[in-house]
Amino acid sequence: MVSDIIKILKNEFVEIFKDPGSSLIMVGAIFLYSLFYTIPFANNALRNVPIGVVDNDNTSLSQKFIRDLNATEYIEVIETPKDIEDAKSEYYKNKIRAFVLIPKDFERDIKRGNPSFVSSYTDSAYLIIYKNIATAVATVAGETGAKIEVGTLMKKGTPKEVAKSLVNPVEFVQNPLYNPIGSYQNYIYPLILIMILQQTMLIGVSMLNATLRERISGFKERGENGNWKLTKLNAINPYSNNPIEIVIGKSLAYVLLYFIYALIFFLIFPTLVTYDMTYNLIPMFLILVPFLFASAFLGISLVYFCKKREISFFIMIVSSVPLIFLPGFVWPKESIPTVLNVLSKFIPFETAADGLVKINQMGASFCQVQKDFWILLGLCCLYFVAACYTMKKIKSEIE
Amino acid sequence: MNRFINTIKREISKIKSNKFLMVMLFIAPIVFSIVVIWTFSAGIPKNLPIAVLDLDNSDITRTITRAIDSTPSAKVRYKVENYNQGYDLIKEGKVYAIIVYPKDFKKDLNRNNTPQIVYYYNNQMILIGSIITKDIQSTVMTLTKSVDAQIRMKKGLAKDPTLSKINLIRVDEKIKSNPYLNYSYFLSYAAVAHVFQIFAVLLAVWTLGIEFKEGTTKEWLKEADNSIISAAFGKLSVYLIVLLIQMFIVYGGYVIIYGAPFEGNILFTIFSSGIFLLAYQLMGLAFVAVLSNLRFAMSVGAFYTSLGFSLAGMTFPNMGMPLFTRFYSSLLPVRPYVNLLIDQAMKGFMLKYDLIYLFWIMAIGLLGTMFVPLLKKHANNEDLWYQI
Repeated sequence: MVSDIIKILKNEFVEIFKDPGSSLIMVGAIFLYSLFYTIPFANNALRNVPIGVVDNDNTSLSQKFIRDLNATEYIEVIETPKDIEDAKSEYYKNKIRAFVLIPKDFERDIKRGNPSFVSSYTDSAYLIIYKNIATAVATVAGETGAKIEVGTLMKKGTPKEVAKSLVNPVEFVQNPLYNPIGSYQNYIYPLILIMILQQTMLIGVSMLNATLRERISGFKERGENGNWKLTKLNAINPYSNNPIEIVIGKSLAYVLLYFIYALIFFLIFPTLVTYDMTYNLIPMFLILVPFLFASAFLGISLVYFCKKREISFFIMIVSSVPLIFLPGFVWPKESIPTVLNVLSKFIPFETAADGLVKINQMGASFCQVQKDFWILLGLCCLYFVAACYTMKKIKSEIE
Repeated sequence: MNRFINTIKREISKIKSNKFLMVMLFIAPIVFSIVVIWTFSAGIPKNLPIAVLDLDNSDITRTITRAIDSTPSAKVRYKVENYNQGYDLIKEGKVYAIIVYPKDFKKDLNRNNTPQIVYYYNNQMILIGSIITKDIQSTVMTLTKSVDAQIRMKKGLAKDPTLSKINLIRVDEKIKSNPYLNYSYFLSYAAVAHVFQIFAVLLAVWTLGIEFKEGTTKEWLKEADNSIISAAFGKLSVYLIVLLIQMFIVYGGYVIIYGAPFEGNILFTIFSSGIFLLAYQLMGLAFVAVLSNLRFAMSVGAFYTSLGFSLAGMTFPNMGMPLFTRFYSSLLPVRPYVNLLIDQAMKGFMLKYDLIYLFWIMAIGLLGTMFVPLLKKHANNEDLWYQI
């Protein structure tokens, strides 16, 4: 039995590299995707969003306000349109993403201690752009206002320290845990790598095994005389006829190959591409191994629905759309409908992403992600049975 | 015209005889669109769990905690005894943030010592972190200022009328688009476009490529009297019409049933949607024309579309990306299309500002059309049949 499994494993390695389709996906695409995805977010964070400021006051204070806005890393004042209409037209042309209106009598009101309203016309459709603009305007307004208030109080004889605490009685200190610079790459890239592992494995594995199924039902090849002739395969594997052995042997080949990829992704890539990694190896392997097995078994099981090798593409690419939203990093789990949360548990990526990001990026211990381990183990059992059943079905199609 | 109709008839009978194709064409685009819309259906994330470490435990800290608890985005789910408990909750994913009040918070406040409120948040989840942070910060700052003012009034201190309870310079946010601040509208509009671009490309590649794989390219051309234009556009038009109708149903349903905003020109948007789908189909045609291998063309088509969502600037804006990506993403019709769609749906832009996006999509479509002659050449080459 063991020797048969080893033969099946070796044979499957040959198949992976021999088939132009699976070798493209399981060897070529995996690196192409992983490298390609480092590019879009390489700048890490969004800086200097172009905005316009309509200055109806035109005093030294309003000018300083504009300079302060420009000095923030979030936005850049590229235009000072003369009125709102002018600003709107620049906005519609997509030259500026927002504009700020400084009212007439801005300086006079503030010097008299009357609050003044600065209006910011923001484009909130793109959350990150909106956040940049809102943060910049609120910060500059808050700081400028506080400085003037402190100055006014001090003029009236209040000591500086007291004046400061009157204006800002409490200091609100923000401490980001993990990803301290708020890098977008650091946030999305680990997720994408895990997704690439699962999706390419599913496409490759189901393509290889759907090809087997397709060949059992017959395929065309050039005969000796140059004419097309129909050929049929009459065994599911050259070394064994037992579906369980075949599933184990094949899956071991896939998992071994992908284990190497995972090591490259998680141990070598962090030194080349900037993303955080804790090198918390034992817990990582405890999540990674059942994840890879579950994906391999699921890949074989999917052949139940694929009579043709190209069909696997459809299933995988289309399903990747909801996948990225479901692990709760883009959209909070608490806000995702319960039914979808439960269904997503059946996809290995969802649980593995949760566990691996917590271990690799947030430094969680195994105990803290235990739940993920048990879910993945459950999926392994479930999909192992499904894979064996599928292999049996393919076997039954041999005439 | 007859050639065109014959091709359509042939394609319809092919669809009828292929159950998997029928599911992928008639059911899958709608189902996946609904899943995406459903995922974001909560609108603005609400009641995200946070923890509080109250080392002062005074009436003031409890008041602040209650105020934070009542903000829409945050919910105080745990009261922890020490830092480690709080960190563990974050690592386990049970909370997104911890708020810490130091010992003697109230005393320091009374003595004008400017005590700190320390806020730790999980920045590994950038988008979620920023939603809670904004709410909590503004609650804390507003509340402490007014609590502080009350204390002073009681003590008879600082009756200074010039000391305003909130900032001297106030920001009046006039939200130009998405006035609902409902991020889900934006994500859903874009994600549905992403779903349809995938189907447009993959269906085009599959139905053109299968002619090569099954060795039926000559038969397909013959049906159209050897006119590649009729053969190609006849085939694509069947899928174009079905997908466009489904897109209309999904977006229409989203606006009518879910109440999503749509403020622009409906006819212009529908026309642009048709061009958007067609441009993708033609790019799919180009892949098949060049490679003449179903499986290889599917791989390329998959690669081409899979990056669509990220590169259209939906989560991370396009302008913050490196030059190479901005150039590459301009070859994806989804980028101009999403801009156009968001402008029309949520910003109510006038048509003239969005024509440029439409021309952009058309240009990509023309690029694909240039490969039609090559497709004909390859379709007549039997050596390209039956490739795996």
